[in-house]
Amino acid sequence: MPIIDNLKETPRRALHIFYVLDTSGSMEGESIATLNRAMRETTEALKEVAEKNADAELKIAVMSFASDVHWLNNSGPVALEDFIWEDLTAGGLTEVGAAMKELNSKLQDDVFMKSLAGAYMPIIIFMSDGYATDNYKKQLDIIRQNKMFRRATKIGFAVGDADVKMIAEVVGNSEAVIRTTDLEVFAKLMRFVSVTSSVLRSQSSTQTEGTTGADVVKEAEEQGVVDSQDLVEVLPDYSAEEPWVDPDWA
Amino acid sequence: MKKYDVFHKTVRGASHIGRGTPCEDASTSFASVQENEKYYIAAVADGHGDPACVRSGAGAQKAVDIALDCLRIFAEAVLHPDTELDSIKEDLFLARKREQHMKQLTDTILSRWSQAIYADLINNPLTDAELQAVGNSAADYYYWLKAADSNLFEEGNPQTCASKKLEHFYGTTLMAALLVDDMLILLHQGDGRCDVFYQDGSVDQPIPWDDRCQGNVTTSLCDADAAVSVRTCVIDLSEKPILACYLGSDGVEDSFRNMEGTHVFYRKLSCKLIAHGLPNFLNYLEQTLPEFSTEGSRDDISVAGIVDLDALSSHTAEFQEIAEAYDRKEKIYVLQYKQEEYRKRLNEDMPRKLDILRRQLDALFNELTDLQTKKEQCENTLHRLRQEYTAFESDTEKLKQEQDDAFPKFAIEEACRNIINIPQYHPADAVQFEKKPQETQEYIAKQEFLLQQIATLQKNVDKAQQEYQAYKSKYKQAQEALRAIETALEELSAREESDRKDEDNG
Repeated sequence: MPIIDNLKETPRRALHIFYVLDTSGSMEGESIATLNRAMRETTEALKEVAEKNADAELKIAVMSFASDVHWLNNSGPVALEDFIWEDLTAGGLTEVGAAMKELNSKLQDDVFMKSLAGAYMPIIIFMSDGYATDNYKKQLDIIRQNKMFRRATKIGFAVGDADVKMIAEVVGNSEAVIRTTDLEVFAKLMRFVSVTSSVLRSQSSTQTEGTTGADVVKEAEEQGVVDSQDLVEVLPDYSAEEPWVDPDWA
Repeated sequence: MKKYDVFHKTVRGASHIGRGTPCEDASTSFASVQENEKYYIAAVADGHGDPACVRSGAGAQKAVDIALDCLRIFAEAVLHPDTELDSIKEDLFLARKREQHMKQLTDTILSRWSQAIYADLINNPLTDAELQAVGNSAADYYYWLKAADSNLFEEGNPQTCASKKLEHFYGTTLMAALLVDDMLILLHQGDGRCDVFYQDGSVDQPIPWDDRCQGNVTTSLCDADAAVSVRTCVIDLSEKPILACYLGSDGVEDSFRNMEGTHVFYRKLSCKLIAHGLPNFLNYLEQTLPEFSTEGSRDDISVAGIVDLDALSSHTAEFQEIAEAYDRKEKIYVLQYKQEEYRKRLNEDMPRKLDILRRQLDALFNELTDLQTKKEQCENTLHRLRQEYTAFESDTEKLKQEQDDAFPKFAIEEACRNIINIPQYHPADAVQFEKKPQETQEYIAKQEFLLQQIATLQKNVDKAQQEYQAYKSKYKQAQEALRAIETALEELSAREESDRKDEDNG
C-alpha cells in the first residue's frame, strides 16, 4: 500500500522517564540499599509496562547527584530492554542546583529528548533525603524556563528528614510530593508512581486535564498505596513560572 | 459555482483496539448540490483519551453533528441573506465584521454542544464505572445531579448549576470546513491539521496554530476559554482557488516526524481518490487506514475532505513525483537515524549491560563455587565422622566380646587388677563417642542446607546465564541490523548518485 510504505520504519513516540536521585552522604547505609532495591524492582516493573505499551517507547535516564552529578547511561535515555540497574553508592554533599543545571542541559530536543517519531512530555521523578547544600534556586529558575521541564509530569519523594519545601519547589507542586520515613513504603511507592505515571502519560488529554504529578499521587492515595499521612500538606504555590528571587541572594 | 465532492472516514486506532477502548474520533461530511444551493461541509473531531473524559467519543460525535447543523444554517444564511444589506458574504471579507460572524458561529456551536452534553447527562446519567473513572470530578457531578433533582436550574439551564463544568467528561477537539459561494470557511479547536491544496499544487495549513497543543496535550471544546480560543479562517476562492481541503485528526500527523509527511499523505490520498473514484476510495480508506494507524501513530484516524476532482486529476503525476521523492528522502533519513541509534546501542548501552550481566554472572559463579567447596568440606567431615564412629563401634564390640570371652576369668583378673594390665572398655570413651552420632546429624543437616542453597543458586546461575546468552544474541542481532542498515544506505546512496549522473547526462 503506497500510502503507508514509508511508515514501515516509523517507531513509536518516546516516553522518557527521568530519575533524579540524591546519593549524598546522608543516604549511606539502609537508605541507599533500599533505593537500589527500589530501583531494581521499579525497572523490572517498567520493563513489563514497556512490553505491553505498544503506543509509546519507554526510555529511562537515571541521574544521581551528590557533590557532583552522574548519569547511569551517559549517552542518554535507554530503552528498557537495554537498561540494567547498577547499584549506586552514597557519599558527598547535596548539590541540587548542579542536578538542575545538568538536567536542563539534557532536557532538550536535540540532546536527550531526540526521537524519530516525537516524544511525549517527560516524567521526572525527584528524590532527596536532605537539604540542598548549594544555591539551587538560581538553577531552578533557569530550568523552569525549559518548556519540557515545565510540562513534565513531576513527582517528588521526600525521604526521612528531607527538605519538603525544596522538593515541592523542584516539582512545582506540594501535592505532587510524597513524604515517607518508612523505606519499605518508599520502595513500594517508587514502583507504583513510575508505572502509573508512564501509563497515564501516554494518553491524550486536555491542557487542564493533563496528567500532573499531583494526579499520580492522588491515584496512589485512592488505590491505598500511600496513606494520607505520607502526603505533604499543601504548601504555598510553587508552580509559578516567573523567576524566583531570594531576597537574601538578590 | 464549481462542483466539489466530499468524503469522510473514521477508523478505530490500533492502540484503542489493543486496550479494548472504543473509537473516540468522529467525522462527517455533507454536500448540498441543488442549483443556487451549493455548499459543502466536512468535519472531524477527536475525543480525548484521558481516563476522566469518559464520554469523549460521544462528545466528538455531538461536535461534528452540531458543527454540520450550524454550518448548514450558516451556509443558507450566506446564500440567502434576509435583506440586501445583510450580506454575510461581503462581511466575511471585512476583518472586523468577519470576526463578529465567526464569533457568532463558533459561539453557537459551543453553546449547542454544551447544551447537548448536559441534556445527555440528564438522559443518560453516568454509570458506576464512569463515575469511578472521573475520579474527583464525581463530586461536581453529584452536586449538579442534586441541583437537577431539586429543579434548581436557572431558567431551565442545567449548566448554571454545575460548580465546575462537566463538559470535560465529553472533551473533544473539533475542526470543520464549509465551502460556500467562493468562500472556504475553516474553524478549529484543539489539535489535528487542515491541509489546503491550491490550484498551483501548493499546500498550506491556513488555520492559525495554537501553541498550547503540544505532544499529547491539546486544547478542547470543553476548555473554559474555548469561546475565545477557537481559531477561524476564511479563504476567498475567487482569488485563491483550491484543489482540495483535507481535515485530519492528530492520528494522521502523529504518524509522521514532520509536517511534510502529512502533506505527502494527503497528496497520496488525492492520487488514490482520482485512481479509485469516490465510492471505491471510501472502501480503500476503510481497508488501509487501520494498517496506517498500526504502523503509525496507533491512534484513531479521521480524515474528511472537500475536493475538486477535475482540478485535482491534473496534479496527480506531480503529486506522485513529490511523494516518491519524499519517500526516498525519508527512507534515507530514517535509516541514518536508526544507524545512529544502533551505533549508540552497540557502542554504549549494550556493552554496559553485557558487562554488568557478565559481572553478575561471575559473582554468582563465585558464590556457587564457595558453596560447593563448603559442601565438599562438609561431606569430608561427615565421611571422617562416620569412619571414626564405625571404628569406635567395631573396637567397642571387639572389647566387649573379649570381656565376654574372658568373663569366667573375670574374678581372677579383677583380683589381679593391680598386677595385670588388661585393655578395658572405659565409660568415658563411650561418652566421647556417643557425641559422634549427634555431630553427624548436625553435619547431615548442614549438608542438606548447603544442597538446598546450591540448588537455588544453581537456578539463579542458570537464569543469569540464559539472560546473558539471550542478551548476547540480541547484541549480535543488533550488529546484523546495523550491517543491514549500512548496506541499505550504501545502496540508496549509490542509486541516488546514479540517478544524479543520469540527470546530468540526460
